[in-house]
Amino acid sequence: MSDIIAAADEVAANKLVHTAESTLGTVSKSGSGSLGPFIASWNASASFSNGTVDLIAPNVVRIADCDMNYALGFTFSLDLNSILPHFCLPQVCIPIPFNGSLCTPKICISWPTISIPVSHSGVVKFTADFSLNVHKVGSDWLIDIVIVGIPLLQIGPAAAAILLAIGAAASLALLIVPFIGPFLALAAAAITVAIGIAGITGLLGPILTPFVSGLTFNIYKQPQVFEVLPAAPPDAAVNINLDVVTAAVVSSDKDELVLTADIS
Amino acid sequence: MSLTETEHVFASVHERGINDFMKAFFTARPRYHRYGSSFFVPMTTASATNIPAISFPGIPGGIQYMVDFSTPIVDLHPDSSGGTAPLPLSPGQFTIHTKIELIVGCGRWVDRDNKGSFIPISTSLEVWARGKLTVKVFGPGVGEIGFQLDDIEIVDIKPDSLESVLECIIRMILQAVLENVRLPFHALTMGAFSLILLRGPEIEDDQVKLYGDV
Repeated sequence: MSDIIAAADEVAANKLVHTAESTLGTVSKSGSGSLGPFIASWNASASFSNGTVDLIAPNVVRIADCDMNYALGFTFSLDLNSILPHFCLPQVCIPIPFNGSLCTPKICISWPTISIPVSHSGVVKFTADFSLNVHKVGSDWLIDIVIVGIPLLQIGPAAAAILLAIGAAASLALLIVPFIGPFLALAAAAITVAIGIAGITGLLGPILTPFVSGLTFNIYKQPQVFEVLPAAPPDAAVNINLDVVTAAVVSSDKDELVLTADIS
Repeated sequence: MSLTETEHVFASVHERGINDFMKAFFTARPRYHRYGSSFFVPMTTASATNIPAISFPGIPGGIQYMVDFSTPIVDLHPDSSGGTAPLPLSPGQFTIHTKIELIVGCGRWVDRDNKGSFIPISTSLEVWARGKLTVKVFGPGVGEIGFQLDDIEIVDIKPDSLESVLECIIRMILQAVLENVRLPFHALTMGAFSLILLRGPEIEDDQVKLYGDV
C-alpha cells in the first residue's frame, strides 16, 4: 500500500480537468494555406473549456464535447480580373472645324488585385480519449493527460459561418474599387462560390487540427521536495520527498482517478 | 468499494507516511524534541528550546533539567506492534511510542549566594501514548490534523503512585509537544486538489482517511 493516496471521482475529475483547461490558457499559431483557389495567410489562437469527463479504467480520461474556442484571422489576395469582365471606354472623336478632330483615348479598365482580411471566432466541439502520463521534469512531478490520436472536429457549422464572413469582408474590400458599382454583388458572389464550404474546411482543418494534435492538460504538478509546513523562523520548512508518484483510473462501484505517492 | 465512497474526493496517509512526516518534522525542527532550562539550553535556537528552571525556595537558580524526546513512532489502528504495545488499540485510535530522556542538574551548594555546581544525571523512559486525531478547518480546503492524547503508559515504575504522577506529567509534556505537529490537508492530497472536508479524519486500515469535495 502506498504512503499517500488521493482519489477523485468523475464529479471531482471534471473540476480538475476544467482547471487544467484554464491553466493551459490560450495557444497561438500562424501559417498559410489554401483557401479554395486562393492562398491565405492566417493566424489563430485557441483555448479549451467545458466537456464532460468519463473515467475509463485503467488509463483513459475521456472528455466528451470539449469546447475549442478559437479566434481566426486570415487574409487572401484576389486579382479581380480573374472574376470580373473586361471592358473599355471607346475612343470618342469630336470634329473641330478647319482643324481635324479631337479624340479621347480608348480607356480599358484593368481591375486591381485586392486584399481581403477576414476575422472570425467560434467554438468547435470534439470528443477525445486522453491517457495518463506521469513523469518528472527537472525536480517536479507532473501528471498530464495526453490526447490519444486526432479527434474528429465538428467544423461544418464553423465553415458556413466563415463563408458568410468572407462574403461580408469581400463586399467591404470591393467598395473602394473604382467602377466596381455594377459588379459589386457579382464579385462578392463569385468569391464565395469560388471558395465554397470545401475551401473553408480545407483551410480550417489544417489550422485547427494542430491545436488538438498532442493536446496535453496538466492535472498535477508538485516539486519532488514537497513542502508540508512552510518555514517560520526560527523553524525551518518541513519537507518530504515524493519518491514515486503514480496515477491510474480505478473502477469499482465508481470510476475514480487515483494518485499515489511513496514518500520519505 | 470506491475510495471516495459517498463523497467526491478522498485522501489518506498510511502510518508509514505519518512516521516519515514525524521524522521530517523533528529533523527540520529539533527544538521541538529538546527542551532544557538555562543550564542545559541557554537560549532557544533551532536545535533546542529554552524553558524556565523549576523554581524552589532555597535552591539557587531553581531545579535545572532537560527533556529530550526521540522521534515519536505512530501506529494507527489496527495494532502493528505485534502485541508489544502496552496500550491496546481500538478503532479510530492511534498509539505513539517514544523514548524520553530526563536529565536533572543535581546541585550542591553551600549557601544561597553560592550557586554551587550541577552534575547532570539522567534516566530514559519508554513511553506509549494512545489518543485520537483532531482536526482544525480554517476555510474551504484548508485545514490540518493534530494529535490528541488520552492515555499514557510507562512500564515498570514502582510504586504505582509514582508511575501515575510521572505519566500525568509526561502526558502533559508530550501533548504540549504534539500541539506543534500538524499535518495539513494539502500534504494528504499531495497537493493534487484542495480538499473541502466533509468526513473524517477516520483511522482504519493503518491509515488516516479524509473524505470531501473539491
